[in-house]
Amino acid sequence: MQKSTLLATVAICGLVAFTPVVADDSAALLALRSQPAVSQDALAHEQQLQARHDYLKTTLKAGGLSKAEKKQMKADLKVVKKELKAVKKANKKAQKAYDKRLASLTKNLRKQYGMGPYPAEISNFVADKPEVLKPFYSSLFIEGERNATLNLNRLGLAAMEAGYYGHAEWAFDRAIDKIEAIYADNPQAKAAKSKFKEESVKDFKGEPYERAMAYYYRGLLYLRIGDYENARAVFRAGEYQDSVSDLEEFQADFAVLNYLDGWALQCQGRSGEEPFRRANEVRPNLAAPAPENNTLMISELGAGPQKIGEGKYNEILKFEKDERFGETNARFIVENRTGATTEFTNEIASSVYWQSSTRGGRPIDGLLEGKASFKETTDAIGDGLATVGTGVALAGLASGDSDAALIGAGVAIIGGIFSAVSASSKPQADTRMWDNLPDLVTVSTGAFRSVGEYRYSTVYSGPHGDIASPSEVYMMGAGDTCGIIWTRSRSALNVPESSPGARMTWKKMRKQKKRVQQKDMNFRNWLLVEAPIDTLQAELR
Amino acid sequence: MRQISSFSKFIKKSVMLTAVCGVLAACGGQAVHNSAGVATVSQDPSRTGAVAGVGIEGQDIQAMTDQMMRDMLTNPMLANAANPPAIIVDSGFFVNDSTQRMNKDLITNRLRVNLNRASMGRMVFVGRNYAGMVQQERSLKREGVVDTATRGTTQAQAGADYRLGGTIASSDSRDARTGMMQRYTQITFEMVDLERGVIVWSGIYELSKAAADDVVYR
Repeated sequence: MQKSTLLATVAICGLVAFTPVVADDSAALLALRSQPAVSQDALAHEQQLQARHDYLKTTLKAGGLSKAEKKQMKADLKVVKKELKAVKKANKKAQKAYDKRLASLTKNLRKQYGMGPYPAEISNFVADKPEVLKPFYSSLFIEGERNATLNLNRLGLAAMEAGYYGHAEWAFDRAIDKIEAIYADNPQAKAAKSKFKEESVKDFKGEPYERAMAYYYRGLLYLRIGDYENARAVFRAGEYQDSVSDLEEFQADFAVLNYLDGWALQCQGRSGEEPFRRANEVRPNLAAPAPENNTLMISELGAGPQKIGEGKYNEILKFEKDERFGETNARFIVENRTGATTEFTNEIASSVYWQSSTRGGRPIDGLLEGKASFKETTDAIGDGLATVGTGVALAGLASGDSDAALIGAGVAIIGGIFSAVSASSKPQADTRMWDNLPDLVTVSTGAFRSVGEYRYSTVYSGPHGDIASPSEVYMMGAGDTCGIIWTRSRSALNVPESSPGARMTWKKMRKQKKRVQQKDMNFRNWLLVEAPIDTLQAELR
Repeated sequence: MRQISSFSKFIKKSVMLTAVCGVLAACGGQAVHNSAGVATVSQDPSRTGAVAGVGIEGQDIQAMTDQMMRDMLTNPMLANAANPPAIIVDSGFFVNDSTQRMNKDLITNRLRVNLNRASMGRMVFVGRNYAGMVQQERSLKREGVVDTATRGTTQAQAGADYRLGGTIASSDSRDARTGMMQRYTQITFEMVDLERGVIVWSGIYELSKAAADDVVYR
């Protein structure tokens, strides 16, 4: 077999033989993309032959050769030319086969997943992430920009609980960047106002209580490493997020953020008197900590509010208290090296449910009401016209009056159009929610020599006494002057991969506008570069 | 026949009227102020803003550090002293009292680097943040592990004549009707005499920005 034929066979077979046997098209696509269309050897051979061909041609053209040399060169040229042609043909064929395979795989995948992400891309992305965070990263990758803030918040909280503080800091920083980004003239925000699109097509930023909680957790992470200035900055910024309440009496009433603002100031050696006073005004049980106290003990209880849609078309956003859990308070048991224990009873600093329910009306509610009214009106008109039209048409047919029958039919058709318009209008309120939030945030403080010298446990109690539930310390840290202990009565990891109702079906995802899908692709590319990987082991609690 | 024709006209008119009324009624909704939102606009902080805006960004850091650098270079105590003063410019005493989380080193590092380059030896900068690194080398030299290199040895590391202090402060407000958010940020820079505590130079930079999110986010 000639060398050229052999290489041609290798080039074509390479595509088939060296493409790994894969479970699905997306893995095949990734494998195909990772290899060249034409093998390096085949390309190098083509270049060699081309160079030899050019040399022979130029030498022959230049003349000055003996007859025998000329004859030999001409014979060589003939062979080289033939071989070059065969190699070029083979390489071209290999390229074509590669393109065809690529197009076929892409077509199949697009049919099912639109512009992605494809299953193999998802598993590749989460492969180097901590096992416990994989479901959260998976959601972040699949749900794209639309749910990015929601998924970053869920991930951040889960990572904080699992002790992956690098992941948590990254997630909350990116979430806050998105919360602080100004969405003006944003196409998706504009679409959310359309009568024929759901409010939930907009990128999620969260309701004010959810935004404020992202700042709260970022602040706790700053306290862990002793960055009291940035901790204070985010606690105050979080409180500002809560200032959108309709009713003035409920504006900036997130007492725990005021309290923590004061605590961060105290840790800097400054006076926290004013923020402590503000916290005390909202929650009279929250007194300023003693100046010598240097350790903050935070315990979060229960589960956060549930968002529901009320009204005929679920157009009114309401918040429901999650009543599954009975704990209403927490006590920290602090044990020193000799085994002696001291008990600290926490005070309730804030209720996340309370923060959600005192927000008042949203400006978007007016638009949703308009959408609902549009749906109702067009539906009523449609029904009315269809009934009248059908009646007139039937009467016309019965009396042999073709004009009346025709007009009746026309009226019924217009009625049908109105009904169709009504059916396609979407006034539903956006009920995507940060589902691993707690309800109550409780605090206490103490004066300890060093945070690491003690053992901590938490006992949770309700109206009927103590409640058996996890009492693990999730986060412990200290800076130069202050320490922090953070626990939760309910795990932030115990939630489904995706927040309820947040993820679109693949059908809906692939039917999104190309612009939206492209934006999600860009987001995923950004994640591939920016998301932290599993090099940061869960730090010692 | 005429009767049928007029009935048919009546029906047609009714259908059209109903359709128009229906469309008008259906399209009616509650008007919302400034529903598309307003993109961020930079404003002149010396004038009253419409309602102002958001935080410090890269261009602000560049503008403020350039302005402070130029100003410091015109101060005779700092830039024209007979013996170049030793100065510490770092974020150790530069306090973030605003509502924006930030890395203060972005400001102080740029200021120090540009001042060092522009002052051409008229000021000497003490790298106090490198004190550990310097001490490590000094110990190796004194223990004879390494030689004294070319510059000889000194009794101690350099002390400083002046050190930069300052504050980043902000005031946030929100207009509930239009959704406009405003942030006034004030950054003060002060050079403090480290013997007497006298402030030998002060600079201030102010910015005010306003923006409104789309109504769906308010």
